[in-house]
Amino acid sequence: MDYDLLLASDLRLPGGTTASMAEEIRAQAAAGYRTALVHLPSGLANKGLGVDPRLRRCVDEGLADLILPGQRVHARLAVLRNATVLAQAPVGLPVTADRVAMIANHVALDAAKIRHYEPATTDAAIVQWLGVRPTWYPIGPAVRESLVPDAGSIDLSPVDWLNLLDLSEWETERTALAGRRPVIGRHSRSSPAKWPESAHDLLAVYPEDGSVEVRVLGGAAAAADVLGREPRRWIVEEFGARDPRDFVAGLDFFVYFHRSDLVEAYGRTIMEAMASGAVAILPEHFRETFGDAALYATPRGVQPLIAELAADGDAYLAQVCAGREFVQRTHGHDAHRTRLTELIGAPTGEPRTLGDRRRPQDRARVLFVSSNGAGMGHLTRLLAMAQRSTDAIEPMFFSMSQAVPIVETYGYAWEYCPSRGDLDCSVQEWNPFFAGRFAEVLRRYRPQAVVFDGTMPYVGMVKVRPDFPDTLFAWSRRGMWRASTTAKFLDRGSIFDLVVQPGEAAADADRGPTASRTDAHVVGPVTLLDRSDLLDREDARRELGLSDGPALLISLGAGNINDLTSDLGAFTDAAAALPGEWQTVVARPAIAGDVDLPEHVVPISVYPLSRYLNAFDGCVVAAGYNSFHEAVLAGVPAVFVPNLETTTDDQAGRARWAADRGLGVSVPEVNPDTARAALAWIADAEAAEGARSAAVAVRRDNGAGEAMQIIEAAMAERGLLA
Amino acid sequence: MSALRKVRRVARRFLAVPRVRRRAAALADRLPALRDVANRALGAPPATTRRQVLDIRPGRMFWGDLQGRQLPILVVVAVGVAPGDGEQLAEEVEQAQLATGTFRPLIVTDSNQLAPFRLRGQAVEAVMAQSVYARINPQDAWSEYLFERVNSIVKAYGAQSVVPWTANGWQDTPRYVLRLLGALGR
Repeated sequence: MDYDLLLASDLRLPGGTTASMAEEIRAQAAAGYRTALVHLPSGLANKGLGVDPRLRRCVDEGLADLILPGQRVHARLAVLRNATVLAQAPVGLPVTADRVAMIANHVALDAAKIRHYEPATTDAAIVQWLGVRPTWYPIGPAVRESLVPDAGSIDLSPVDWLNLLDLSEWETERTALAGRRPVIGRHSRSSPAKWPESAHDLLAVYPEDGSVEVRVLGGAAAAADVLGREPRRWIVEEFGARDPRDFVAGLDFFVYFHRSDLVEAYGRTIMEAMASGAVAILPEHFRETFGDAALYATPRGVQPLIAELAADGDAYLAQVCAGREFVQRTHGHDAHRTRLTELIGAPTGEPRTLGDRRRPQDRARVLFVSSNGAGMGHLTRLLAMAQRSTDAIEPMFFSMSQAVPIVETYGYAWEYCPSRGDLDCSVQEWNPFFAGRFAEVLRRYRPQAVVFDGTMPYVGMVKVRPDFPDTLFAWSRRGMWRASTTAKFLDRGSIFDLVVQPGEAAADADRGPTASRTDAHVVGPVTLLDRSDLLDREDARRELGLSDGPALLISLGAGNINDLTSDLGAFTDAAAALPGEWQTVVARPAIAGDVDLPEHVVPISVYPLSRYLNAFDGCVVAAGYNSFHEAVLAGVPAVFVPNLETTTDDQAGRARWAADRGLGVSVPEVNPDTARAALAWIADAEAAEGARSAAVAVRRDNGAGEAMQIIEAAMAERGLLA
Repeated sequence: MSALRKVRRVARRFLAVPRVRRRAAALADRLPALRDVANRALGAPPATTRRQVLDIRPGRMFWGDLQGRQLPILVVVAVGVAPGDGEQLAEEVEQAQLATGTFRPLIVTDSNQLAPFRLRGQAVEAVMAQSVYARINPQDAWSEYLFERVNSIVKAYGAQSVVPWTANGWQDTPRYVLRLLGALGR
């Protein structure tokens, strides 16, 4: 097979080598150059033994062909990386090339006098393998300097082979700091060589006094060794804990100081940070590499420089532009195309259209997180809010409810986490599992805000919260807790920046621990639909296939907390005995188990059920928040059946309150007699009319929109809206 | 600075040298006891420490709460299958489980129908469908997302094998081959 280019190295190495190869493959494919990819196994890879994910993606997308041992391949130009990998001629790879470029991406001899490769040895191995003498291209001034002593034994190109970076993939919108505390950070492995060796210098650059926020991606064990203790107030994440694009996007300044004897080959992480728009502040010796694109200081001069730029928005933004312009000019895909044209001429293939790898930034992502609950209440409340968010918001869901796929019908993406009950595992097992999963979702989707609806913020949520200081956390905390509910869950509320409390029609009867609190923004009752969204009686009946006679709806929830079979039977039997040939409809949520129903019952499974409530002359519903307020919204005379086995929700109190006001009747204990009596009340025209009037009197505007307004205002205040 | 911290600092400095690190890694691979001692000295968790893994329900094909709990967890990955195939998948897994009695299933699917698994007491994990992921996170490859998700699931649950379930299901797979599901030399 003939190719324009052949790229060869140990394809499993993490970091700059494979990142640069992947970027070149993309640039080559976009230009029409055909690329073969050859793996050279080496002892350098001792962790991941599979091809680096970035290269795997190139192969998956058909941008390069992965060549296996034994396959004969010819290329116009072979680009080889990592001289250590090529210390010996590869065997079993019958590859030929017209020209060979050996990219020296690290120094041959470092400042600690450790020799990483012998250029002459690698040179000879390449000649033995490909039969062509390579031209050596260092990736920057530092590597070039280390090759100078060997210049007589190798063909050293006068120009560097600058690594590539796709600016669009990294670019993040930047604004002046405008008085807020600067965020500084760094991304490197936690090697001692990567940190200043003196505690004085280290704290001068990365202070602990809170004047700036210090974030570290890559671990800080080596810094702790220098300090003799763990650094205080820093936010430290281990290497690989999150996408570097997301990490640098959260920094105002990328400040990288290392041990004085370290010779950085180039500093790809610096380049990435500049592409993102973070202003790079570096030791003076980097000036040769980055020129005016970065700022330079002594350790003691770092903080005054930051303070100066933080106070001067124009100067800060000018430096942001300078960094980006440098990356685009020297490391962009165009620069690579020009380089290849000079070396091998025009491509032989057709240009490929590459997928956009930019993270969408036009809307602020809000992650709506719900617990599983007894039914779909938490999820439905969040959906109500998401539906009323402005265009500036991109809602996404993360739920423990198996009903979460329902949000897809509203156009929202979702992720699922099995609840403890669904897995039947212990709390001790589930808590760390959830923490890991929650952090994984936050890192992957990088929401600007999290809105949690549940009565119990999870231990894992509390644990993970400090790792995401930029994310606004809001708690949609329904009231009406049982009076005996422990208040310890409320203490966990400290992880939230704000609390929104969906209004409660029965608030007068709230005797729980939230009733006396003043920490929440109380809004109107939150329901998925507004009254204007409900179908009128005729349309609803037509869609459900009901005839003109009286109709009763029975909707007792998913039955995931308590067994509803006997309750259902009592009501369907009682309905069958009602005079006037009532039609009985039983609603079963998608997550409910199968139940055998009598022949006279019509089963339905629709969402949202409230849309059809006007079809009915009466209903038997659970006294949970959503069912209750939907019944009030529609003004349907109701039999409220409180679930007495919920953890926090005071359904009995809510049902009692409704009965006291004539909205319906409460049936805490269901048996044939109570079911008959309750349905007799429903069938009584005078009682039903009274219930409708009572509903009108207690009905309030939907609070979902107001809740979202409060959350979005808090996001705007923090600069989290696009 | 404590003596232990000094030792750790010196050790880290040595391990920063690539050749030393490579040789140390090779030695540790050959001598696990030495690796554990080194891990303790460096303050890293010993490699032999068992991760906290999830002990999940085995499904409804066993008796009582405990039977089947000791079986290895088999991750069945079904992505890109047609809507409505969940029933067939759940049923085939149950048949294979009944025939072999050698595994606890954990279904990983991009389907929006989780009910078939719930109703059978099968543990289920969901992954985002490829088309949705491409819209939400266009900067990442879905194939990598799937790889990382399944990897993470395997670790979290202590699963011992991963098998694919394709649009044709296992209907064409001979029973004597299906019998090998979960056959892990126990």
